[in-house]
Amino acid sequence: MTAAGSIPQAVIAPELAWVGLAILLPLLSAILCALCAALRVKSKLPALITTVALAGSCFVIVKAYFAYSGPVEVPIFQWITFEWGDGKFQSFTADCALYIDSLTLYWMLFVTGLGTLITIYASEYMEEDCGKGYSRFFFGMSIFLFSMGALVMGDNLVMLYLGWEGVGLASYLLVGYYYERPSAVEAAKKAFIMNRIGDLGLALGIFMLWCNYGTLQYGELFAAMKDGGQTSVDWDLSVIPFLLMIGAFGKSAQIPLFTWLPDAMEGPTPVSALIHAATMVTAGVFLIARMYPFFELHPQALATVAWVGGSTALVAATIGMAQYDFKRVFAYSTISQLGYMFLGLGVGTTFGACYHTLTHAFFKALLFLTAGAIMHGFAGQLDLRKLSGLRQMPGWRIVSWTMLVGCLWLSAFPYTAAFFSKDAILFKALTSERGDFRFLGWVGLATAGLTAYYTFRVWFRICAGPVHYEAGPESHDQSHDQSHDQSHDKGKPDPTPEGESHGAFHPHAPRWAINGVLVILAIGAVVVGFPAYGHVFAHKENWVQAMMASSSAYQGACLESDHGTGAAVHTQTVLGLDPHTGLTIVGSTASIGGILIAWYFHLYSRKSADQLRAALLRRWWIRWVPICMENRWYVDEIYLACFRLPMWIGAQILNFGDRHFLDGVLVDGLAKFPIAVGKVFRPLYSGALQSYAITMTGGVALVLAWVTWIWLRGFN
Amino acid sequence: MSGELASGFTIVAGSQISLALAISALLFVIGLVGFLCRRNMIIMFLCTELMFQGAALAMIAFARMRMDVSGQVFVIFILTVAAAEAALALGLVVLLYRRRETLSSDAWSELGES
Amino acid sequence: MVPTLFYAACAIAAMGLALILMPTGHKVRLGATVLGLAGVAWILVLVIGAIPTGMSEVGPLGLMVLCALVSVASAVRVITHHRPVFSAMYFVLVVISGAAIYVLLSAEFVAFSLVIVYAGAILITYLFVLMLAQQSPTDIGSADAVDYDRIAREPASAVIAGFVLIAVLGGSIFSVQDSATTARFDQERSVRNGWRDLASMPKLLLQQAQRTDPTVARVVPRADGRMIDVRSDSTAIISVERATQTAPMDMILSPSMLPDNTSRVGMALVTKFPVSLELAGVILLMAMLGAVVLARKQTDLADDERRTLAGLGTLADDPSVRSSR
Repeated sequence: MTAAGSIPQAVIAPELAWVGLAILLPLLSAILCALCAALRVKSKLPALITTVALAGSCFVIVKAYFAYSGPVEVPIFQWITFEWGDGKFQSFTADCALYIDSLTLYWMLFVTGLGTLITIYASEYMEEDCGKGYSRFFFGMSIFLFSMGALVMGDNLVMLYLGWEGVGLASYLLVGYYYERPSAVEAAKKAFIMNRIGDLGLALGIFMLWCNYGTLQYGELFAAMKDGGQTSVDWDLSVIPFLLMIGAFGKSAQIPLFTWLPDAMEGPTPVSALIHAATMVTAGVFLIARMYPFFELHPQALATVAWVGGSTALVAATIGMAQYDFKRVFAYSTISQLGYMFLGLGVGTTFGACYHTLTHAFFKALLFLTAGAIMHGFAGQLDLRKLSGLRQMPGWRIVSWTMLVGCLWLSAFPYTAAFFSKDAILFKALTSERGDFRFLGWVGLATAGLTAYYTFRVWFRICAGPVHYEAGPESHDQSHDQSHDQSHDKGKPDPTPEGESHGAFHPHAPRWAINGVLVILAIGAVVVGFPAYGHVFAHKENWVQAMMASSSAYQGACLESDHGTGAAVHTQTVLGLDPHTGLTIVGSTASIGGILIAWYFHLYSRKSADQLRAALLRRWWIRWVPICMENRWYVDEIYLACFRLPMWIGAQILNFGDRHFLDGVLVDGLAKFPIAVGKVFRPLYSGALQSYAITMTGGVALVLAWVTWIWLRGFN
Repeated sequence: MSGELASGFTIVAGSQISLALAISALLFVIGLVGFLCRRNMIIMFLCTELMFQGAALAMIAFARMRMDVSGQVFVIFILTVAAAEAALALGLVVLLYRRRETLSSDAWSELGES
Repeated sequence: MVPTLFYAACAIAAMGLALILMPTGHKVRLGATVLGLAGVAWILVLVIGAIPTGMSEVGPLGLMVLCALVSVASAVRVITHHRPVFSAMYFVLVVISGAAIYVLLSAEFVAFSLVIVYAGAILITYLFVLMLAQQSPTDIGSADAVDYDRIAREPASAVIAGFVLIAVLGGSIFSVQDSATTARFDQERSVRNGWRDLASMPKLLLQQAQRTDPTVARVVPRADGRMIDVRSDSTAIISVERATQTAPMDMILSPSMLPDNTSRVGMALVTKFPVSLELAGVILLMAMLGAVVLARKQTDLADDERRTLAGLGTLADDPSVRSSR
């Protein structure tokens, strides 16, 4: 790795405090949305508030980007300060301050931009819930953007942790948005609990960092790191990257902790697009990029990240191939693409990882929003076997074609933005000196082929082919019918041809807000390719690379993946060719091959897909593959058996002990003892005066006998 | 010499005193047992009189033993109290009898829980 | 020393009493009576035998044993007889035999007042009340007596409790090693008490002095300030002035001049216990008042009648009462 320099020392710049508005505006919007909820606002006011606030936030970030000249620390106010001595490890400071470097701005640019667009989309998407849950939804969105801002822009790991937990909370609130549905509640709980596991690792990592360096401010941390660490305790520093890694795996749904993300699709689709595809799940990537220097504390730390990323990419892609719920397909593709990003981080190209984050954010948000539009229009229909030919239906053209853009980008079709970002990662892996990284590179290539297949499986099924559709499970919903009537009132033509009307169901096509956002996102997906185009065709410096090189992730932002210039430095070849040429050829082949296979099975001859499945199932030596893929490799079931079952058994045991021993014997037993004693003596309490007299006499006699006995003993 | 002594100053055997005490104890206990066993309220009060008898006899015996008349004076007080008690308690018994038309003490169990 | 024999005697007597109280057959009652009497007799024998007795005291002791048996037997009849009137009559017997024991213990005044007050007054009251309140047996349909007079309540536990008391208290007499010496009658001290009582009765003292020597005019305090100096042979010396002579002279009073029981009791009542005497008077007065109140005709008045008697308007006219409802 060639060092593109070291981390530039941050300058303290209080005059830039206006950048804090980027965090403050979403918080303000959250408060206003809460007020709207309290005042029972029935209009689209919360959406307006949130959109304006997020647009303002985005504007602030853009302005900050143009004002940016080098890393700065912007103090806002003193937050937590403890001192119990004058020494190095005897104070703890966590100020509310912003650390603005190019990585921060890079992340915030797409977070706030996508946030604004998706809020506009959601204002139409959520209109059926106007009044009831509208304020709640936009409150959650605002809280999410506020937390994401704190996570990305915070000056220290405490603020990062605050944002980390905040986005987890927002995710929980929004996944469980339809809280009347048990499955949504289950999914929200699952997401929250699995994130807790990761958060524990992150928290421990932060503790370890403080114990080892005595500070949590990024600037001081990087400086201390350069000095080699001054431990206050005799602990192994090398455990830090692994702890941080667990946090990143949890938030970004990597292999041990990935099962929550597909279930999180229970939330409204804009939430899936923004939180569970574009922004929140990339927080893990951000964390590793931000703390990249610390991942070299242990030689195998980055290798672990690479292996986890590579295997997640492959496993998620195989699962995605066999799902019929297209929203779930996209969820698994998200996990798979996140795996790519981790692979990139692991093999040492933060540039590739962060560039892929950016491109992925756009095309995956686009895909989810098109999926949401379809779902919205077809009453919650998510089964790709029950929808077909959307391309030819009036009112659905924009959706179909923007979806095609998203699919091409996801399958890394040659010379799309994602092609370059994925290429940067695979190139780094394939040209690595380490054999296992090269193997992971080939795994990544195979995964790219699978990705192309399952992506176009969705598109060919839904958008191409003969027109055919079935209504989803929400078709008899009263609120749906109302909104459908509204669209009639506004003079929209009925998009359904008369001959294909299925009873009372008429799909309603998206209006301007959804369509406009889809078009903007499609354009954005194209635009994010420009840095790569400029680099490849005009030999300009890649903008993303420049952004990475001046941040804490500089070590992975090396320029080696130059197409056409730095080829001579590589000792590795791809299929005997120059790595650049070879990778372009192989990558294009994988992508186009996957698309062609999908075309054959899902458009040209749809029956053959089922025949192939049946054929696979008939052969005993191969039948486990489709079964495992359709059942998501039984990961959920294994987790249930390994973790939930022992806990459940333990809980039953403790419950039994609590009920029968603590409650039954100790508590109730204590109560039963006086009851039993009372039962013995109750006959004495008959109310008859003479019974009491007998008891009294007996008592006197007993006491006298006792006294006499003591007295007699004294004599003898 | 004993012949010269006035009445009350003649020698008395110690066994006579203890015999009187034994009788007093027996009277007291029989009165007690009667009080506890009999259900007729009038008889219960009669049994308290029996216990009074036992106590008075003990007083007399001790007065004789110490040749001190205070014990006899207290017996006179006991008689007073017994008379007062008889007057009042029997009046109350008559009232109770009017209420329930029976003398049984079982008729009065308001102290019980039911 | 544990008085095992005494405990055994108590147990036998208790068993007898319990069997008599329990509803049993005629023959069992007879046997139980014999058993109880034997137990009581054994107790008495043990008590008498605990202190050595000279032959000269056998007479009064025998008399007292007779009285004791009559008293205890009639007391048992009081608590076992099924007819309350008979119980009351047996109680008279207890009182009379008790009075006899009092006389044997030289408490003549108390003995006679006992007979007068108890047998004469209290028991008559009891009989009146019994006759007032007693249900006639024919109402119940029983030939003999009503149920609550025939069936004893929990005789066993009551008898056990009572006789444990006797055993414990009486047993302690036998447990003391030198019970004989402490229980011995101290004649000297009793004579000294007698002379001291006489010294507090100046008129009686002068009478006794004049009975010894009619010429005595006054009894004067002796040199040490006391009226009477007791000598060891039960006689006493007093200083007297005669009409014929000026200087006081010593004079010996023989033991026969000691004051009698009645005068000593009366003297003690007014000199040593005047407040108690007054209190006894108050108690009797209050008892009288209480008896009068209880004996009045009890009538239940309605609310309005009570308010009228208290000088208030009827409930319906009272606005404060109405508003509070």
